[in-house]
Amino acid sequence: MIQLERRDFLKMSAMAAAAAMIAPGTAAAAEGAAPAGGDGLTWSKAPCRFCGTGCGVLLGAKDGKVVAMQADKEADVNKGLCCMKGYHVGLILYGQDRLTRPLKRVAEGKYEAISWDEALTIIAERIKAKPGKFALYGSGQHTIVEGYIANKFVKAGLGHNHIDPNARLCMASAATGYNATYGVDEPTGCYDDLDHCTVLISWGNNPAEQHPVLFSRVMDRRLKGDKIHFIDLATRRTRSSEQADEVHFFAPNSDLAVANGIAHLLVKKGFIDKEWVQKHFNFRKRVAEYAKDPAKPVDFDPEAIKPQNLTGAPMTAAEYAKAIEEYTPEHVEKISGVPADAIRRMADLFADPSQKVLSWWCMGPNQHTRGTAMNSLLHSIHHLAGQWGKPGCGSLSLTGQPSACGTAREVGTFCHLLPGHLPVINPKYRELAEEYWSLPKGRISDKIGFHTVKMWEEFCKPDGAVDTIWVQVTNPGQTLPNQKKLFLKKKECPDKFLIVSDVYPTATTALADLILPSAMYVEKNGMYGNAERKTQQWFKMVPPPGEARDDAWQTLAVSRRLFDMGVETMKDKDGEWIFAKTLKNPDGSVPEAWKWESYYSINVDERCFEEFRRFTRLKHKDLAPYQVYVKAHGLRWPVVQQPDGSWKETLWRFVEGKDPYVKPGAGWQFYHSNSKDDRAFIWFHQYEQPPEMPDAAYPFWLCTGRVIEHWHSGTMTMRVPPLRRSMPHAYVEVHPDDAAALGVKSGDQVVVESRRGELKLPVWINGRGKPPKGTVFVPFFDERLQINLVTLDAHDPFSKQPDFKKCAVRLRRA
Amino acid sequence: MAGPGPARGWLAILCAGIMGVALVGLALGMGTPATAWTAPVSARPDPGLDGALPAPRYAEIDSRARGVNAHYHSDLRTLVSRTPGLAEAVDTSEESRRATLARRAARRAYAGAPPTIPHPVDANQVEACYACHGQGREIDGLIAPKISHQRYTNCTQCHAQGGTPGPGPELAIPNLFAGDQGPSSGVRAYPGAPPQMPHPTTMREDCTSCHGVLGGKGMRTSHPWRMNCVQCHAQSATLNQSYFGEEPPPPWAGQK
Repeated sequence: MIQLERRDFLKMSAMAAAAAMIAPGTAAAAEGAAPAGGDGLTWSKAPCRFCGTGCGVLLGAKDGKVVAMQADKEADVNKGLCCMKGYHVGLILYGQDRLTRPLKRVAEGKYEAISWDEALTIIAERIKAKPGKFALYGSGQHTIVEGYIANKFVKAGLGHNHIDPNARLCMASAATGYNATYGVDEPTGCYDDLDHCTVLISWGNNPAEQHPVLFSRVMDRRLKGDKIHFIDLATRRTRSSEQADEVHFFAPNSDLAVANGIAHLLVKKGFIDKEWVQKHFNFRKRVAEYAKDPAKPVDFDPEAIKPQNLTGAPMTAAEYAKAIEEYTPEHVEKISGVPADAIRRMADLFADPSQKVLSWWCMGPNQHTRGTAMNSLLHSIHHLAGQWGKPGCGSLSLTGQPSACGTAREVGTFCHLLPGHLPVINPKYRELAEEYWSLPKGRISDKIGFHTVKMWEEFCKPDGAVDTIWVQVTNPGQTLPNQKKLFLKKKECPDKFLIVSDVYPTATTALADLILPSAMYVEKNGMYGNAERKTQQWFKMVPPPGEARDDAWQTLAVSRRLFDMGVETMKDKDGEWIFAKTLKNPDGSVPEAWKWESYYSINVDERCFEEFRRFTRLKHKDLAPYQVYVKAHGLRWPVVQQPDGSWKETLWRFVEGKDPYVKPGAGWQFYHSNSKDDRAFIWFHQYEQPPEMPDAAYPFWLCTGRVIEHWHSGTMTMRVPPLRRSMPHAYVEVHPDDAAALGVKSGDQVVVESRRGELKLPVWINGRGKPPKGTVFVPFFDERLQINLVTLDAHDPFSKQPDFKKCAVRLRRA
Repeated sequence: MAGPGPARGWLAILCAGIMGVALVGLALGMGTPATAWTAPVSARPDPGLDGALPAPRYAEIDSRARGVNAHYHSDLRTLVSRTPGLAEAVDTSEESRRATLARRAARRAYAGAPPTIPHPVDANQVEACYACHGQGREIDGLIAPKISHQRYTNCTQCHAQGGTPGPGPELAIPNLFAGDQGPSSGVRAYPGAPPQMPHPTTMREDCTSCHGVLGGKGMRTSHPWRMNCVQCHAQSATLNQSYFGEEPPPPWAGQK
């Protein structure tokens, strides 16, 4: 004891001495000893590789390997906080089974390593033989430049539009919802709304697990004494529900009725006559007739669901009031199960000008056969109530992939879009793209290409219109719905050819004829765009393993190979390679970026981005020069140059004072209005039953989704030990009463069976989520247990997005 | 067990409990509206009898998730919580420090990673974590460290459960990531000088979580009565990434 005190006393004396000379003292030590003030790592910024939140991460590299991570305190998305996936994002590079050589299938399940040169030749010859039957299946994880190159490769270099991203499965309905309502895609607000809202309504969403950083951003405000009334409208009880003030289960698909119930009460309260409604909004309904009996939805007339009809048919305020009349709280309760009182309470909150009501959602309203309608209704109730256009109010669609917005939507890797979100059916935009890309007139096809479901359907038919698909940065063999029909049928089509660029063996590479090893994440330069319009840039930090190479390089190299083989469409109007002008040096010479050795002799990302940027101005989605993003921790578009030369991001769109494109004095101005009068829409959409509902033969609802530990198909996170240990295996959540009726307990195996397929899974009762009676839930991360053998391929008529959230199944003991 | 007297008493309490649960169940059952979709309005049940949740049936409980924690004695009679006094002897041996660092490393993919949770987590509410980790507790030699970043309310957002087998076998793909373990100690300008912090302070905002009286052996401060650690122990601007990216470098940067 005495000794200790003496030692402490000595130490304390020393401290006093140190304090007197602390600045020079530590400086001297820092010079002498390497670790002081530094850890020997090179730290660089990047957005997280996983979801659409777009958290800023710092990755520490040493000796060519990522060895540490931390959340970026300067990133205003996450302000120094990540989730468990983000904190382990660097580990995804180091699964032992990384693909490192191009592999050619020589027999069922047997592959032989080939050279890159041979691989490029195989692809180029395949495309050259039948360019019209080639399709590229891209991704919301494509970096912006990878997507841009792939998009130009197909639309300019092959003269057709058969490119579509997996984002079709993820947020296509959000895009059509925004387009139908505002005439332009992507959220009008941003994450800052989370810092201001007083009422938060979650629609079929589990942000505590799926967007944990954003969930914490709003819920942590409660620690500071902020009052946030959180209403969880859900189809099962989740971790998010635990923090909710109200949890209401709605019957799958009846979210339309709930939104209509709120709108009904707002009309009753006289909101239809409010000044902002009369001044800024028009009423719309769909062109196709609504079903007389909601239990018997109409089959859509193909005319009625033409893309042009996305903007609907006008209706007067009186017609709207009449249409919404039947959605009394009691009627809505009958359809949805949400108590009439809760509908009234929500309508009161919407109607209260002292509240700031924010709605957010992700896959619930998107993976929905009425996805476009549901997204439109969410915006509409906020418009009607005036809960829009002020910080903390509005309707915020979240995305599941890191660049679903930045690449799939903004670069337009959809089969109906050109870069800058320009619809390909519009001749004006095709001409413009031909001008920007120096293409001969008429090169860009006016025909919309195959959307995801159609593309795979054609590929899986022996004489279908697609005979070669190149898959980049995604795993359709696990994530497409109704796997037997849309993927596994490939086995029966020996003439079909599947090319897969990936980093690990997956359910997709299992059927591939050619596998290309890709560089991933910080093994390459990249840019992503997140769910609040924020574009983020990063630099390559470590080399890829073996012969793995950038996806952008792979596409460029195939394009160049086709050009060298004399394929006409790979030439621009001057006979040059279509990417020659993109990559050109200031002195006019063309760097040989199609050769891997010289790919990084220039910054391909910067040159492609500068070309892409021109397209973004047309829809007021202005992006700043590449170098501005190098310095920034992300910027939300439109990013507009100020008189002093600086670049300023935009937080709220269509609001005077916030959005630089709104005319002074306009207040709110929807300058991309579908009705060309600066007004947005308030939509009416009737509730109708989904295409498949539980019946006597298949009595349960099946919902699928994610868990916090794993990201999508789990190819990355299942290779990260801390995440895999926490959630090693898929399962089926069953209500205790249903389990008792079946005679099963937690851990018992049951077979989940639909009309399309079946899967054996262990039961988890009162597990991670708690479904109501009559519903079961299965996560889709486990490649050994693919629930998409069971799901439905029915999709929204406008967005073509399939419904992974509801179909009918039965259970039996295994 | 005790004699027949107390046993009968326990039986009576048990019977009363069962009847109580049955009555609550009956009340809940009668209160359920016809539609199967209606759920309780409040997510936070009132602790009173009306809001009490029925106890789970045995069949609903996953025995694996509730297995005895290898690190944990669950016998209440032996669970003693105590907090060492400020003046108690502190183990500052190099051996203990190494052992503590090794245990920390086993729960972290790299220095600075959020540690995995070495015990089952049954509850999703933050209150459950705070019961032990709010102020930190030592129970029978096992330390539940105090949370060093109390402004967050969603613990399972960052902390994954480690070594708690869920349903089914693991997919066994090794990972070759070799995480940076960080320096094992701070640098001193001269023998006896206060060491500079060898780690960032982000998320490690409460020094006592690891270095206080409930810190790991060998990592505890020898002077826990001092309340202002940063008075003597300098932080590292580089480790804290406090002038990263577009931020202008501090005025002293680049000066020799």
